[in-house]
Order: sequence, then C-alpha cells, then structure tokens
Amino acid sequence: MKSVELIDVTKTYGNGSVIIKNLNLSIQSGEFFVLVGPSGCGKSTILRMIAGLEGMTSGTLLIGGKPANLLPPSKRSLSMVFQNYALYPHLTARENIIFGLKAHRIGKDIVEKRLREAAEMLNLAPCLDRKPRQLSGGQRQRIALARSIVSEAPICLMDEPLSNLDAKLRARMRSEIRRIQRKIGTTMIYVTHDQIEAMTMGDRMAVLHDGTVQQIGRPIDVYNHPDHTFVASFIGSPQMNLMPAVYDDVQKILRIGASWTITRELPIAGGEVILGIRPENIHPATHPASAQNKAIHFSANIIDTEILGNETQLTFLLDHQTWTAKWEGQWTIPDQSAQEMVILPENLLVFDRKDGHILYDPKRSQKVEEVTV
Amino acid sequence: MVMEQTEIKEGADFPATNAREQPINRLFGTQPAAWLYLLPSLILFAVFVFYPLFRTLQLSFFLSDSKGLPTVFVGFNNYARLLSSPEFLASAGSTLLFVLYTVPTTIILALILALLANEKLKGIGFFRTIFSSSMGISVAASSVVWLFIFNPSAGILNRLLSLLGVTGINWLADPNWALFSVSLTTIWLHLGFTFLILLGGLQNIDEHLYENAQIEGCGYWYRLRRITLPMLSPTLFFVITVSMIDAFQTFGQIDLLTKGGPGNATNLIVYSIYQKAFINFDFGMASAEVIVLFLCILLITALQFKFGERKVHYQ
Amino acid sequence: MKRIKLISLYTVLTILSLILFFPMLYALSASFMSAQEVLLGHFFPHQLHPENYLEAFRDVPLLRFLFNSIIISLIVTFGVLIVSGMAAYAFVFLHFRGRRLLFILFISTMMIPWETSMIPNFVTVQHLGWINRYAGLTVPFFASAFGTFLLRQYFKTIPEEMWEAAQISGIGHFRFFVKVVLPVSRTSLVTLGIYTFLTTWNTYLWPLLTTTDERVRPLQIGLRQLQSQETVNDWGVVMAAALIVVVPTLIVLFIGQKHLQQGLTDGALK
Ligand SMILES: Nc1ncnc2c1ncn2[C@@H]1O[C@H](COP(=O)(O)OP(=O)(O)O)[C@@H](O)[C@H]1O
Ligand SMILES: [Mg+2]
Repeated sequence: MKSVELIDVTKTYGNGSVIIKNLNLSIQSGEFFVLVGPSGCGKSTILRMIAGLEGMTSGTLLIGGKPANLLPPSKRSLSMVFQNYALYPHLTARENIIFGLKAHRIGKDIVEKRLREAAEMLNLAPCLDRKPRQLSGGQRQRIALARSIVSEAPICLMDEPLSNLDAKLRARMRSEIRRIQRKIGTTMIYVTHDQIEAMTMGDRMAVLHDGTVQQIGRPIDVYNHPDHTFVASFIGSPQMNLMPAVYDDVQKILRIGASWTITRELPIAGGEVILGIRPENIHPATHPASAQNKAIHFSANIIDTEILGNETQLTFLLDHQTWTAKWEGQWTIPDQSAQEMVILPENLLVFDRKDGHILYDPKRSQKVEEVTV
Repeated sequence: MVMEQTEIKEGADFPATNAREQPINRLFGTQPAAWLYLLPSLILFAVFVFYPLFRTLQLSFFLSDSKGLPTVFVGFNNYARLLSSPEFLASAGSTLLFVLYTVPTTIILALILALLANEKLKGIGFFRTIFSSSMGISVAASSVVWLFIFNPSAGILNRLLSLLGVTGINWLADPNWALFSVSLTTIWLHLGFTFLILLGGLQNIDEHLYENAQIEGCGYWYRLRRITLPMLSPTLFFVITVSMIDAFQTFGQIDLLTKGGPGNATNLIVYSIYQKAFINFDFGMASAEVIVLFLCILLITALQFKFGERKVHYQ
Repeated sequence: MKRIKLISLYTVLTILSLILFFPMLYALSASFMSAQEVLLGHFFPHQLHPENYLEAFRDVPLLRFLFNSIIISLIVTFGVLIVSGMAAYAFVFLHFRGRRLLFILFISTMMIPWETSMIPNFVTVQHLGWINRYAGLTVPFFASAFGTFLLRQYFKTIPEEMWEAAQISGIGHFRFFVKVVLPVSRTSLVTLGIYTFLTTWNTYLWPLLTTTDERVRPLQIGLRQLQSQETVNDWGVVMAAALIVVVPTLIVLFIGQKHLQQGLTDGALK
C-alpha cells in the first residue's frame, strides 16, 4: 500500500478562478482518509488531481514517496469509483469488472481468481451476467466497487460513491466499504459532502471550505474540538448553536444578545466573539448536570419540538436567536411554553467573530493557545 | 494566431487543456491523437470541399480549356455574360418558381400526414411506413415512373382526366405545364423525408403538455396552435431550410423528365450548370453560375437563421 | 362518437396511403403488362406478362448495375461511419486546441452545396484516374459533416467519467473508441448507416459524370440508360427496371424507418 502526499498544491481554472489554494495533505499508507465539505468546495478537483485526470497549477504530488505529477493516471497505482459509477452500458457486470484487467493482458487464471474473490466479497454472483441497465442502484454500486477491488491498486479513490443510493442502502454500504477497506488494506481517499459518512467511515478527515483545508484530524477530535466556526457548523447534526456574543475582559462577563450574561473568566482578550454549544449539551433542568454548582441555568420559550424516536429536538428562542437542543427520551412540550434548561460551562466554545477561529475550548485549552496567540 | 485565440475560449470549457498548467498534457497530451482522428476528414474536406470551392471561384474569373484548366483571366466577364444571358435569367426565374411551388406544399402536406400518423392507433406503423416510403425511392426510379404517368397517350393521368372530359394535356412538353409537372414529382419525392423528420419532431414533444391541456379541456385546434406548432417550430425551421436547399439542388428529375425544356421552362439552375460545364465545356461561365447558386444558398441559410430563429421555440 | 372518429381516421389514412403509394402500385401493375396492354391504358394487367423483367435484364446489364450500387453504397456507408466516427470522437473525447474553431469549420461545410465543388472535383477525379472506378464514386463522400455532427451529438451523451475510468485502468483512446464508444453508440451508427446507404444508393448526378462505362455504373444511371434505349413505349420493361431499383432501398427503409426517424430528428435538433 502507498502513501499520498500533496504539497502546496494550487489549482486555477482557465477563467482565472482559484479553486484550490495551497493545499497540504499527507495521507498515510493504508489509511481511510475522508475529504468532506459542502458541494463546490473543490473535493472532486482534489481527487481528480490525485488521479491525474486534472492537472495541478502548482505544487507537488507524491505517491508512495515518489513524485507523481507527471505520471499518467494509469501509472499512479490507483483505482477510482465514480459517483455515477461509470459502468459501460454495453458490457455485462462481469465484463465491466474485468475490462481494465483485460487491457493489461493479465493472465486468465488470475483474472478469474480476482473476479471470484471480489464477487464473493460483495455478494455479486447472481448478477454477474446482467447488463448495468438490468441492475439496481445498489448492485451497480457494488459492480463499481468490484471493478476497483480487482485492480488490486494500492490506492483507491472514491468520489461520493453513495450519494445515488437511498438512505437505508447508504447506511449498509458505509459499513461494507469500511469493512472491505480494512480487509484489503488499501489507502482510501474518500470524498463526500455527507458529514455522517465522514464521521463514521474515516480514520481521519479533512474538512474543506472554499478550496482550503479548515481542519484535519480524527473524526471524533474534529467533532469535539472544531478549529473554526465553519467546521463547528458543518460537522454534526443538528448543527452546533453559534451565537454572537461579547466578552468583557474587565468585568469577566460574556454577554449574549441584550439580556443574557454569563459571568465567567475566560483566558482570552475582550471583544466580539461567537459562542458555540452543541444541541446535545443543552439539557433539561431535570438532567443530573443541573446539580453541579458551575451549571448555568436559564429558561427559554419553546417554539417547536420534533420527536425522533427516542430523542427529541427542541427549537427555542433566546434573545431573538433560534437555538436547538437535543434531549434524550420523548418530550411532549406545548409550543410557546417556557422551559428550564441547563448547560455546563466546559461545553461552551468561543470563536473569534472576525475570522471564525477558535479562541477557547475548555476541554483542550493547552492546545488551543498555540492557535490563538 | 487564430489557434491562440480559441485556446482561451477552450479554457472555459475544458480547463484540462490549459497548457500553462499542464505538464501532464505536454507529456502525453491529447493533441497528436486528436489530429490523427481528424486527419481523414480534414484531408477529404480539403480535397473535395475547400479546394474545389476556391478553384470554382478562380475558374469563374477565367476562360478555360476543355479539361477544365484556367487559361485566360477575364475578370468579371463570365459573370457579365451570365447575368445578361436570357437563358440564365429564365433558369433563375424557373428555379425561384420551382422553390415556391414545391417547398410550402411539401411541408404542409407532410405536416398533415405527420399529424395524422402521430395518432396512437393500432397498425399506425404501417401507415407511417407508407407515408415515408418515398424516401427510399430514388430520383431516377420515381422520375421514370412519373414519366410514364405523365405520358400523354399511355399515362394514367390523362386517362383519368379524360373521364372528366379533359383531354390532351401534354404535361412535360407544354411550357405551361412542364414546371408544374416537375414540381409534382418533386413534392411526391420529398414528402417521405419531410414527413419522417416532422413525425420525429412531433414524437419528441412531451406527452405531459397534452395531458395537461386535456385536463384543462382545450380542443384539438387550440392544442395544435398553442402546443404542437410552437413545440414543433425547431423541427419546422430545420425542415424549411433543408427543403429549400434541396429544391435549389434539383437535378435528376429534370434530366430524366424534361432535359430542361420545353424552351427553358424547367431549366433549373443545377441543370443549367451541368449543361454549361459538361455539355458545352464552358467551365468559366458554369463556375460563375455555381458561385451565384452558392451565394443564394448562403443567403437563404443566413436569412433563415436571422428571421427563423426568433420565432422558433428551442427546448 | 369515438367509433365514428376512429373509422373516419382510418379511412383518411387509407385513402392517403393509396394516393401516396399510387405511383408505385401503378408501376408495379404496368411492369406486368405487355406493350399493347400499356397502350390500351389499363390499370390492371389482364394477362400477367412477367417477361418484362427478363427483358430488362437482357437490355442492360442490370445485375451488374445492382451489384455496383450495392458495393458503392456499402463502401460509402462504412467509409462515412469510420471517418466521421473518428472525427466525432476527437470532438468529444480529445481536448485539443482549436477544437471549437475546427468544429465550426466542419459544420460550415454543410452550407456549401455539393454542386459548388462539382466541376473541380470532376477534374480532380479525372487527374487521379478515378473515372470509371469505384474510388471515384465513393471516396469523395467519405467525409460527412452531417455524419460527424450526428455522431458527436450521441457521443456527447456518454459520460465523461467513462473515459476517465478507462484512463485510470490504462485504456488508451483507440481501445476506448473501439471497445466502448462505438458499441455504446450502436443505434446512432445504424441510423447514420441507413441514411448514408439510402442517399448513396439514390445519388444521380455524380455517377452520371464519372461513369461512362457499364462495369462500374450504378443502377440509377443504368435506369437512365435503359429508359433512353427503350424508345418505343415499352413501358412495362422500364417499370420493371424501376421496381428493381427501388426494392432494395424500400426494404432498408422499412426495416430502419423507426431508427431513422428518431436518429435524424435527434441529430437535427439537439
Ligand atoms: N472545468 C471547470 N472550469 C471552471 N470551474 C470549474 C470546473 N470544474 C469545476 N469548477 C469549479 O470548481 C469548484 C470545485 O468543483 P468540485 O471540485 O467539483 O467541487 P465538489 O466536488 O467539492 O462539489 C466549483 O466551484 C466548480 O464550479
Ligand atoms: Mg464533486
């Protein structure tokens, strides 16, 4: 298996728009690496530059430690799965899977063996002799996966491979792709706009926004310690509550809106900030957290509740701002009623209002200081 | 120079070719392959389309020998001779009349046929095949058949008319009837192709539009005027252009039916060119006439695009 | 009410079919009449007279002409498919400089009527020694702007990702063209093939100019020859020959009608 490294990569299109700015990524051999970001942020472009389908304006690409800028796609020892699968409509599933192998004059026995293994791994045996048109979306997706598997390329690129599937199938394929990647150990570079896929599949992920990397890290670290308001709002569903606030470093008061204040000393300079808190960290007053003496209590008007099985999503207004909370259990609360709630200060994140960078993250304060200085 | 300019335009479409950023493409670029794939077409176009076009233009300013090689430069003399020759004026007039007779009639008839054949009926495929059949019939065969039909004594046309008490029309030899007869043949011959294209256009119209109109209770004529014709207008536009160009290029019918006669009544422009060049070996004047024909067709196409396009609904 | 509409519709369709097909029916009927019967102006032969067909084959080498027409039409059809298929491939899958300009150049040749190049082409073919050769009758028609345009429209519907997938598995342009693009575009190739076959079969002026010899002469010119030979009212023979000319293309058309209609409309309008 091979590592992939992008150093200072920039991509400008003919019309002068800069799509990728100074990208640096280092993907380890055998790693499942997810590129996640909203649509149009340049994920596909990055993937296609790695594949060699798109040229780089500047920068270096190393594959397995060797410069690969000049290699044609077929010499980069990688396989790719496309969003629309790019299956050849006139070939049967079997022919589709081995089409590339045939071009390389690989021995018949080896082709057969790889085909058998891949078909077994993906439960494809019954549909091997059918044409793509006669297959369901999920089966087509598996054919595309099988095609990538039989190539035995040390690197596999996937561009939103699950986005054409229905929700249920998508969930199943998430774990299946993960399982196969573990089993054969390829280096996986996986592009998605779906933060759930990023959270559940990746060893590490890079969150992209407007062609720049916002944060790289293990999914759980990115979730718990977002570096930036963009990451904070993009990762996690429902998204993190982000509220404009002002920190007064003389009185040690955090003012949210006109009337709500939290008196607390923060290791940051005074000024305009953004306060962030995840919905699941806003608890009902009955929650054990309210017993802690540092807990912050407040009351708010519920404007909407949605019961999603065993959890409830509440929308409420606080100082003309809409907040969301997520509570365990099934809560039936009449709209417009006031509700007592509680939050713990260690779950509060503070971001710079100007550039969105994190200023204060209580659970990793020692690290954050490097960033803010 | 020119290549440079298009390269910038290309950039918007396919940035992958942006040479500045493309060490990849410089190495195994697609250009050499592209020229290889285009070479056969380019050579053939150069030899059989572009070179002849310029050669014809050149010839039209020269006198030439019997092998078609230019000898003496005579400036616009060929054109002057052409434009002052009564034969050419007659042939130009006939050609315009011929276009006027054939094009609108063919299109209207074909449209009626297409509307009828677009109904969903059992066995409609059979009628469609019959209606399009003249597309598979060559100019030569159909001319010969019509020659027989028009035959003054043995032909069926005069036999039928004699039942009505009309006798003795000499369809192809009478200057008053010859162009009409040739037009009739041509309309019949072109009906198949025009029908086929219009039927295709009708079938490309989204069914939902009709369903919606039906729900709203619109009548057949209303639907025809408000949905069918507007939606069909790109096809009609295409068919009008093609039919006009076809009419200007008529040759086979003339050669077999009338040989341009009687007088010059059916001496349509291509037949007149053929006679000048390959019977009289006056390549200079023939080339001048070719250039006139070329300009006419260019003008028609240009006019069609200018005025036709505005009224046309494109999907 | 609905029934009346249906019946009248069928009636109208039938009458129109009869009118439109009348010339061919008339020709068919006359082809079985003796010369006398033709002169009597019958519509149906009172006595079948199939000798006309034998006569037609005896008067001119009709079989030879038939063979020539088939060969010429097939050569042009495959020539057009190959040459314009390659060009269309370049326009869709090869991103080269000046692509747009070149495409406009291709399309512009559609505006140049073929007659414009007739005289110099005749001279060229003469110089090449291609008079009375299949080459002279076929090669000038290989490059087709219409064909290129039609195929390009279809190739464009093939997702770019397919070519990208091929690139990644190390498949070159030629292999991709032959193994993927052509098979996938089978229907549009058939459309273009039928269209080219029909138009070539029916070409008249060019073979008239470039064949002086019965060995390569196609049917259309053969028919002209026969018609000018049969001076005295032997219409039955001429009609028999006309039917022989028409039958192959009618068969092709009947088989390919659906294809042709869809393909030509798509090509013209997309
Ligand atoms: N060929 C192109 N020419 C110009 N801009 C392009 C081209 N392809 C993509 N882009 C732009 O690059 C940006 C990133 O595209 P892409 O990588 O496809 O985004 P993603 O995959 O993250 O949705 C988009 O804003 C898109 O408009
Ligand atoms: Mg994308």
